[in-house]
Amino acid sequence: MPSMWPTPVAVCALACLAIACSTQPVRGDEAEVFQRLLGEKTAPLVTVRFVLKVKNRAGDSDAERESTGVMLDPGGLILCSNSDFALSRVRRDATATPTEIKVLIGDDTEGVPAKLVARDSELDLAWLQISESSGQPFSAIVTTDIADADIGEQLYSVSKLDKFFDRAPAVRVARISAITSKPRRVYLPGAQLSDFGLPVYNAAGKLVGFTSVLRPEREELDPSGRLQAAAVILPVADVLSATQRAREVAVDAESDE
Amino acid sequence: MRIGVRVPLLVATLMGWVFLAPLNGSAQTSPEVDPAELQKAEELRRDMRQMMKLARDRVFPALVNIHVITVNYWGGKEHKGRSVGSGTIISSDGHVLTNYHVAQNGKKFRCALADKLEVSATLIGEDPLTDLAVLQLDLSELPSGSKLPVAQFGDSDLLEIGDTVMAMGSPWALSRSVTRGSVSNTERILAGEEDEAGELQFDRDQRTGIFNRWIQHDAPISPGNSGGPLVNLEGAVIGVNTRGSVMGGDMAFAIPSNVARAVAAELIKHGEVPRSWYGFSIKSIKKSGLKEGILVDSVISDSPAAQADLRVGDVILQIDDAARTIWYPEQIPPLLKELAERPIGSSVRLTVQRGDERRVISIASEKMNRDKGEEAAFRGWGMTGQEITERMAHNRRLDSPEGVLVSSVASGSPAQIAEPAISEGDVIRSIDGRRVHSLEEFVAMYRGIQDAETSPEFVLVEFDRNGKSHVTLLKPKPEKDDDPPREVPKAWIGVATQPLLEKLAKQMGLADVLGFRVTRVYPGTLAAESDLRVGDIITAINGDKLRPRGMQDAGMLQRLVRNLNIGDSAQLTIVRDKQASDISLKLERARLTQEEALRDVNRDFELTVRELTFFDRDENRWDEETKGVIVVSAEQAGWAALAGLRPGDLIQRVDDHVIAGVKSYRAAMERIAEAQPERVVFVVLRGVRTHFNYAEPDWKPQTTQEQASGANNTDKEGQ
Repeated sequence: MPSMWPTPVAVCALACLAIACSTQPVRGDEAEVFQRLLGEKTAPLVTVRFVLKVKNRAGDSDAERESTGVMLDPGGLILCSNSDFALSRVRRDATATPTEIKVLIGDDTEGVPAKLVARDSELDLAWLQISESSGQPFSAIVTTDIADADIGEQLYSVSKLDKFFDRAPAVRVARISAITSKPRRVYLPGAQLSDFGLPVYNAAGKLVGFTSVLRPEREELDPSGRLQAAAVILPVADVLSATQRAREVAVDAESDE
Repeated sequence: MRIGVRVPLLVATLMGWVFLAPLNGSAQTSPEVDPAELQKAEELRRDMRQMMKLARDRVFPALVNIHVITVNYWGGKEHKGRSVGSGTIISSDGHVLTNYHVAQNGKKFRCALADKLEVSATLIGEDPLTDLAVLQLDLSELPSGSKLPVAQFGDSDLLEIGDTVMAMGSPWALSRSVTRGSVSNTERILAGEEDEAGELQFDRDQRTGIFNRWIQHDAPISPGNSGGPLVNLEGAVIGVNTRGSVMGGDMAFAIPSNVARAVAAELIKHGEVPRSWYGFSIKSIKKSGLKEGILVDSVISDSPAAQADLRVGDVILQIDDAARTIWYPEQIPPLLKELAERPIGSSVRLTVQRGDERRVISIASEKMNRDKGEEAAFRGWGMTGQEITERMAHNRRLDSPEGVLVSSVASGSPAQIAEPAISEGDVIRSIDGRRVHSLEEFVAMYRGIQDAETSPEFVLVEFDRNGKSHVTLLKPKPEKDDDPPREVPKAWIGVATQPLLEKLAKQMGLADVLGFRVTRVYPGTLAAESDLRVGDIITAINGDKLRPRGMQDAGMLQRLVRNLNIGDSAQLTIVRDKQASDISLKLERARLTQEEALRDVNRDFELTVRELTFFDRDENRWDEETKGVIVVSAEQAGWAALAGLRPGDLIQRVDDHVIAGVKSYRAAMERIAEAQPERVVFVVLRGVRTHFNYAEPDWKPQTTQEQASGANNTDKEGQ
């Protein structure tokens, strides 16, 4: 049974690595990066609360969900992960529609209404627009101070925790393990990221990209139909270009005739 | 494990007989038989056949197959369903006797008669305690001059163990079936663990089978036989088949005809079975050590029995001065029936032994109320609610039947996401400070809120849970779904392609040619206006070579195109007939996908449609003149599904309204909802031919109180 061995060995190796990571002292300059990012980069983060209405052959089911987004401009355009508002692509018999979308800014627990105005299934991004605002400009992300990243560089993703932790801001670390050109140019983080549609910075606080998930086209799936999704960091330029297109989307509900 | 071994052995044995018999038979000679005896046997066989035939023909023509559209409440909403049962025509006026559990939660009934004619029916009355119901056939649907066949009741008290009986019905919904068997027991009770006549329950609140003993027989019955007649050899109905058992062989249970006949008469006369109620239950003296009497097992507080000071543990020795003893459980149902059949308000004199004391207690009966309350769905709040009966209040230890019991809550609904959430089992006491006394009141309050021109942001709901009084804010949900968001516009070339991989190219004599082979040029696109053809191999775009390495690169071409700008020109290098050339093509905006298409959900017909997309037209080869909306789903047993609408149908016309798209469809359906016609015609394109589909929506309200009052349901919310 030699084939039984590699798995325990791998598990041991990962366990050792995890122990090594967790016991490694945090350097003073790293702590400063965390603190600076938390202080400077988390104001544009918002919580998006909505009800996802799922319809499939078995009937309807609704589920209340929360996602974290980032304010792209002072007018209330928000970037989110499209996956949070949609079903997996492999479920062709079902549809999911987000409803009752509310955006919670800062300590607000009630939220302001918003509408999902566009999505980009390829980049797995979605854009929301706050539909009722007080007229005050929203605190938005700065997308002009940007940088490229190199393999091995440590990057920092900012996000918000869930409501159980009072939606506190948090920083997660990922090191670039690969830069791909096919199917498109993206950074592949070495650590698994769990929040998508959110900004990623380098240690200097420059915007490097946005977390996302890339999936194959339907005909590109392997024969088993297994979902081959990968967490990636999209370059800033790609996201800004898509955002420009999203702004141009005119959803004309009565355009069918 | 034993069953698994026994069955193959049995099968093997039977198979052995089947296959060995002809082989052995050829080597044997027939024994001598007296010709006179043979003649006698033949006559007997003929007579028996004739007897069975006569008996069958006295009931079989009156057998009906009942198709029921049911509405059940769970998961915070109403769910339609279909079921099939059996019944018997018992009067020339068109009354059909069946089981309560066949008619239970029935919204629409259709009965298939012996001549296969299908007739609508309405519910006259139902009696869950005996599991019986009576339907009324719509005689106006019968051909003029036709006469209904009517079955006659027999006397079930004359039935004896061993008698031959026939079960008629629709097993597994297969219409009109007859099986034969023998009576196994005429006074079967379905005893519980304590060997007592157990109160059978349909669910937590609804009792059944408490007033009768069952006729147990072995004529095979299956689901679908319920409500069908059990017939004796005189051709009289002596029972109503109600229950079967898949465990323990062929065991079927029928309600005796003497019970069924009396209940049917009451249902036809009153729409219900008026019964006396006293508020105490009894137990046999078996194992009690008592020598005589009837043990009082429980007394409901505030009931007539409690008010007359009957107590648990009392032993009833006499009822109206007649000595009575219940020795064994089989004696309980007839006594309960006897007491219940006394006039409502009459008194019963009980002589009881309490310790050393003997006393006489007189109990004035009250009307026996329903066990279980009505239900309704409140779609906009994502919950279903139930009327609370006295019995339900007692079982749940509620102070009173006031309020509405929350019977289910939908996931993610306003009721569930309220803080604190409303849950199943809660009792709603007030809405916005107004006391809720009944389900009917609650329905009215709900409608008032949902129909208001400006929906309130929150509704204040007060509810009880486990004796604690809570308040919460519920945000009513708009009924209309949001339209799906559109994809950001991206560049596209109107072709479908397959990657041309190295081996395939080599086999096609195109060594070193890698790229994307055009499999379709979509008509009506800029690609169709270009020189591109099916079979062309696109090897480069704007000079960038396309080199797919496997099917994982199938999307490479269009992915590259999406990174370009709409309106720009792209230079495609193609190989056609092994010759390379360049084609200049203007990039157009990607067409709407089916996922992005506008949708409409119609609650009345439980029908979801979406707009027609470019790709629908292409897949179905529909030209630009073909318009309509595509059926996405028709909920099971909804009016659209019952009309025969299927996913993929293209609705082109609804009644006189031509459907050009979602906008005109919505307008048409709104006008139809206002007019509430009896019949709605959907003309659909399915494949290459059109179909007419007739829907017969039920515009009536859902609670029976409202149906009785004749109120109309004009709103689209689930009530």
